[in-house]
Amino acid sequence: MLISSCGEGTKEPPKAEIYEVKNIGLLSTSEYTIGKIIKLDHVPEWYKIGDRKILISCKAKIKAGVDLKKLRDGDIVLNGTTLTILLPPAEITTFTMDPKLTHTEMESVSGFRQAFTQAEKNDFMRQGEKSIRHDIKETKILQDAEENAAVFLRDFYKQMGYEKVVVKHRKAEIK
Amino acid sequence: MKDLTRFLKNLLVLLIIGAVGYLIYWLFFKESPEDQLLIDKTPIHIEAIRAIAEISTVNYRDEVVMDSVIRYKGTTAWSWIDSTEIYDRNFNDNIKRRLTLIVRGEVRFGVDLSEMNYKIRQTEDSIFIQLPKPKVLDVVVSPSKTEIFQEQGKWTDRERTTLETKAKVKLVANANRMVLDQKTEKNMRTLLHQMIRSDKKLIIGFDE
Repeated sequence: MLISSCGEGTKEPPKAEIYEVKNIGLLSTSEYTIGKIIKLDHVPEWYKIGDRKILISCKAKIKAGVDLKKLRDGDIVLNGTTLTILLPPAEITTFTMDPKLTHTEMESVSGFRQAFTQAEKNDFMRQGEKSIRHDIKETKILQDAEENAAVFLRDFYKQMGYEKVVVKHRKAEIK
Repeated sequence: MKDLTRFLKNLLVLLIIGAVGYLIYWLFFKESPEDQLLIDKTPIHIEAIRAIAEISTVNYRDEVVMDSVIRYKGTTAWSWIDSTEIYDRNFNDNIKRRLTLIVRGEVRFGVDLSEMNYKIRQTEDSIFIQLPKPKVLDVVVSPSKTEIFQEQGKWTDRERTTLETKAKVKLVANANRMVLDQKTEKNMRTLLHQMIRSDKKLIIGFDE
């Protein structure tokens, strides 16, 4: 205990004074709520006695839409009463994991193993977030966002008197 | 001379006992921080899908530090069992537990048109667009942008969540101090002027 206590002195937290205000133009048109169970069953080295298991449930709110700042000259063309808009490809606009919607469902530590620390749990949630960010690409969120953006803009412009509004999407550039 | 030799021998024995004790602790009890524990692959579940129409025009990015400190109360008598407490009381500013988070987040301002709550009216020479009042649309925080700067003692999930929730409130408070509503309105006007091609005069208003 004496050994473990040594060197565990607290550090003064850094003073954060960094902020940035940026002008954006995001039209978010689709919101998905994604749930995931984060599962860890740590099998220790042979000389360690006991297990550590944890199940954490989390939720992510993800919005997708189009970045209207990426509209280029010539992307909005008016021909008589027909308006044609070429929108940039849909993208994820917001990714939020609300801490209130994250719960440890099960935690089991046996033998001589140590309990999970908050730093470890945060690391598991980071891995969960990375996994959700990867798997969200497999859903139809971007397709929905493009369709919803087209519906919204058609309604919006029609209210301004344009008889026909054609909304197209630019294809995403392959990086 | 004889006493010194005896003292050194005793010291050596104590050091060996200490080293063996630490080795046992390190091998059998201590969780090695070098090994990153990897979570299992589990699927995601889509719980809800919603069509929305939110236009964000200002993004405020900030970093807040949330520090929670619990100190020892009263006094205690020296004992080996309470060695951690003795150390903390005397050499660690009497701190019993401390959790410090650094939360990096974004606050998005804009207008929510999801309920079709805008009005467009035209006259011969003007287009009037009445939009809802700008508001905070998103407070973007996530584990990857949250750092556990220090963790001393045992902390429950609820305590950490409370700190994280306070961090969100602080982010919004910091953003509101910048009076970004006006900037949001200005940017919204600029954006709509770029998107609406018309010879008519465009007049954009916001609800009070």
